[in-house]
Amino acid sequence: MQVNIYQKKYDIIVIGAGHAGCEAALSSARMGCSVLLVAIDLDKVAAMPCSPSIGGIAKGQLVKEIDALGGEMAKIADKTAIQYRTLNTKKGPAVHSSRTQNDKIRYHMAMKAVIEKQPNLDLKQAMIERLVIENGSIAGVEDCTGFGYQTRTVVLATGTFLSGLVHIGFNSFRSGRAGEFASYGLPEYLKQLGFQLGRLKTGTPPRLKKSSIDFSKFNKQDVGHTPAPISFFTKKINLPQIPSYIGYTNKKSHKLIKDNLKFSSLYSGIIKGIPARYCPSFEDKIVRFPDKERHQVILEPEGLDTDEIYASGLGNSLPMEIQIQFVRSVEGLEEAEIMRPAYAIEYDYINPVQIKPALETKLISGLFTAGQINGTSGYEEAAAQGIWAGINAACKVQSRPAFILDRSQAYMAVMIDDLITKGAREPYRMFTSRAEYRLMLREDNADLRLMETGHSLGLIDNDALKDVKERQKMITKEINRIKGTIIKPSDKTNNYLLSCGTKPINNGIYLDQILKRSEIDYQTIDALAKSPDDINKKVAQQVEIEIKYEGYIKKQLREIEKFKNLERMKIPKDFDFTKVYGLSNELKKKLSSIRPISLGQTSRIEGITPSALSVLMVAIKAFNGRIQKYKIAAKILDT
Amino acid sequence: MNDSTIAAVATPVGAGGIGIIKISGQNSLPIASRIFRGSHSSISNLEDKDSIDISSFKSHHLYHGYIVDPENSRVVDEVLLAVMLAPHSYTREDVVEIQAHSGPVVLRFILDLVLKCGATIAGPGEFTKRAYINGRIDLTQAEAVIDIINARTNKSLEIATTLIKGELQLCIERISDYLFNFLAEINAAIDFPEDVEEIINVDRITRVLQNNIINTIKELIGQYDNGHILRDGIKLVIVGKPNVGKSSLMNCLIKKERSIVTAVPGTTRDLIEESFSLRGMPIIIADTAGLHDTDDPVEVIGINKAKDYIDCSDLILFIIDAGSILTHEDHEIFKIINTKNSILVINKSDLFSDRHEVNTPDSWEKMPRVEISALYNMGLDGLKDLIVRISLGENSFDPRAVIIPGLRHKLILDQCLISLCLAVDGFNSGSPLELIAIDIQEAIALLGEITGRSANNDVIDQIFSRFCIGK
Repeated sequence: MQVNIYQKKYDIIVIGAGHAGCEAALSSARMGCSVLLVAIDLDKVAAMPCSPSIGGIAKGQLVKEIDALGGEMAKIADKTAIQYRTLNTKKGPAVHSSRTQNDKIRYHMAMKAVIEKQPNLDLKQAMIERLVIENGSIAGVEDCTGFGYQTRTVVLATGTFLSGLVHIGFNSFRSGRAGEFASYGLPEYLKQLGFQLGRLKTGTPPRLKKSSIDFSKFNKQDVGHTPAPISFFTKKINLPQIPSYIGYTNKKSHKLIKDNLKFSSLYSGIIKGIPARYCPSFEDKIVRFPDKERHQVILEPEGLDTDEIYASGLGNSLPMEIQIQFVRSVEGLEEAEIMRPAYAIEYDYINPVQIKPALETKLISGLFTAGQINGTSGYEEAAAQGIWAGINAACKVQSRPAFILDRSQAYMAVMIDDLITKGAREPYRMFTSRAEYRLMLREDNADLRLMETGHSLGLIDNDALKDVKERQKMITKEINRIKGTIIKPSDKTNNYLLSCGTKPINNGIYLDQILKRSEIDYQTIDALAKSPDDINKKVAQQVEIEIKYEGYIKKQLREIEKFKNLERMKIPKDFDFTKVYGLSNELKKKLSSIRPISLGQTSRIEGITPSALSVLMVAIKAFNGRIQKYKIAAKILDT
Repeated sequence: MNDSTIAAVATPVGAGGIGIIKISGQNSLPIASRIFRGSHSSISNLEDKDSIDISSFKSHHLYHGYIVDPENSRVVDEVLLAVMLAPHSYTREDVVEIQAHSGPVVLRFILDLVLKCGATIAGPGEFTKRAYINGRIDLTQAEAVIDIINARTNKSLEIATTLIKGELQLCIERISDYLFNFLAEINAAIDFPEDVEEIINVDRITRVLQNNIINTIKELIGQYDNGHILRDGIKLVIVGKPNVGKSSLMNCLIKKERSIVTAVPGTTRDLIEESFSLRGMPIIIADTAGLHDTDDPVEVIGINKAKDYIDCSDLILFIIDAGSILTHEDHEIFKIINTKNSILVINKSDLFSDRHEVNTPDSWEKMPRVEISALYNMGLDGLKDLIVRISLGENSFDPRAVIIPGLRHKLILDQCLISLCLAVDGFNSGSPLELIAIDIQEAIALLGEITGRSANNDVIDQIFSRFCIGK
């Protein structure tokens, strides 16, 4: 008889209270499940161990999508933002992205407060070492003291803690983040269960003391004039706004690194984990781009009440004595004091081809994974998987159909489809170029795209839904008005057009044709022919985008239609890829391991040719036909 | 998946007297309706813009009529048309079969019309694949269907290794690599603006797009149009006033009796097309109705058709009678063919033992001339030499030096050209980069349909290998 077991039985236990874990726990609790969120250290809930910022290109889109589904990240980002920027404003609206600099302690506190107030959700400190599996399904977890918790599902959101190993020069420490316990029991247990674990590497730059920096040698970064909140629900921004500073490394810095490569944990061969190419350690920059004369350094504030400055761009895995020389080689940092050294960290991850679209593992029913354990990097990527896994765990508990968006609906769907289809060879980060329907997946329409789904899951309230639906109606109405309104040439009209810097008209012309001109915005045409309705900024923005980019939007919609046709062709669960006549052995092996669920997913697997896809289509048809035949035969035999 | 309507020439080129164009899919009837005129409409009605709706046709019945180019109402060919309604067809979709005269030019022209009206050209084994997917073929045949798909693909791969197709493949891959590089640059500028500021050099990209890529594609499309000489043969037309021996000449060249040869002027009332091989070069030869003034409505049609045919021919054999002096009609014919490549063929030279020169106007001097007797089969070798020399040009002609895309490739290149021109316009007018990326992406995907490369190429890899990206 086991006595060391907690009596309460949970629907869902979320292991890890980082950005993935918090969203998973909140969404599932809000859907009515009883949830336990466990963390090794409750003072690190929603910690920002790297850059103290939320959003960025493509990441901003993810945050808005999380928000539209009723997630927490955007709201907390607004509550704790000390700097707002919109990136890519020189480009079109599809790739505009929001980014905030955040007070990292306030971020942690604000998220923790929301979790503590959430009904159905318990937050506890414990280090989970073992999973309890019964008949191939998850049944509970056990902490390092042997104490057990019972549950129906588990979400693993373990970040960099699985066999975490921190490196500074030749020194390595078992650590989940610098100064924190790592979990060495859980990954061993996962291997025993049959999971294939891989090893990734990431790192973080040094933190410098503000008062030791000569900011006069740096350029103040442009900050957005009017900060626009990230969350659709935020009304007001409270904290004071403070800037970042930009400077550069120089030849001296580069020579120093080059001369000391042998002391780097990355280049001395100590580190085996795969690093991300988009986030290179400084050693990588010197080796891969030896001709570059300088690299950018951005000094970012870590909070209002701290002197710590995040030195973006100076990440490395060198010993302390070289880090100090390296930092001080930068103009303006000659006297800089390092408060926390840069370090590299290696950790275990599950190659995500072992995971289903709902983020449930193929191996263990009821076991979900989210965040860095799936080979991703970034708070936003983690949070998006967190809400996805949390919703799906709740759907499983409540016997509802799985929550799965497709690549035409959301960035988060692009990410998850990429992960489960292609796996992750390096830490996966979101980029806009990963999304083939990028024009449709904008920050500005995330609520229009997803809030109704959020509402149907019970994560968005009625008022918000009503607001979105009314806006949608208004947008359609206004587009129709503009397309149906003819402007006739007159001196007044033409003088106005000229004053707006655009060609006058000779004949009657539909209003939308004027709006399509690149130099014209909604306000200009609204002044030409005023709408009878009160058109707010949000509606005007959508109307302008829909009309200006109509041709391309139509193109993307046609592509999406084609894409959906292939997605709809499902591959039966018990279909045997190795028996497909006419496929190469290499493809057979690959398909058997990935087990795509549709022909659409198959088409995105590396090495799939159009003819292989045709062959598969025929084989699936044959397979289904045989089943049909057997069913008919069985029926005849029955009667 | 199968909501598109596909079409192809279903019979081998040059074989048999009849060629079949097959259309399958939900739009096959509306498409065929646009280009078919039933013979029950009187001849004057052929020019009517109103097409007839073939959906009223009985399934599995043959209907006589004409294929008409809906753009200019010109009659292309006289055909038999059959409708096979779903599910009682090979593919179990609505199928239309058009039985036309099997000249490759005519068949290609009809297929072009069908494609213009909204069909897409059938991929390798696609009719069979559809038949299978739609349950027409028994399950046990699944493997055979796969063999067909693979065989067709392998065959095109095999062809790709030969020099002509291989060059095309290489050329398209080169273009595709260029575009992929541009796409990587654009995406790097979008996704990493802080790392790779100002890497987009609009001038350079538009210059390369315009001068190298767009022009190359235009050349390829042009070579398709010229390339039909090698693929489909040279189109020769025999013209001349009635009863100068046009049909006899044709029979000599193709070595068989086809046109009814009589001494009554105007016997050849219709256009007769034949194909044969001349020194290894495929030739399509057409014998026209004698070009002369007439009120006979049937003859008028024949004569008009001949004039149309002259317009799209490669070489004209203008035949005159050495035994009679030039008439008004001969001069009129010369006016019609004046701008075309022509050979003056002086027939019945055997009737004159003294071989005196035929008296022709100075303006005729530009035509190379040859004397023959079609009746006695004399002087034909000289004519054949002349045809080959003029068709292929003075330079020795090496077909392997020219890259000639097929029809499927040409259609893809047409679309690709549109996308790339949009991209150039976009750059010039300062469009947002993510829109230009859509055009370039589309062009790359289209080219992938030619090379068979999967479009899963990772643009992210390309970015990281070329730019210094990092926080």
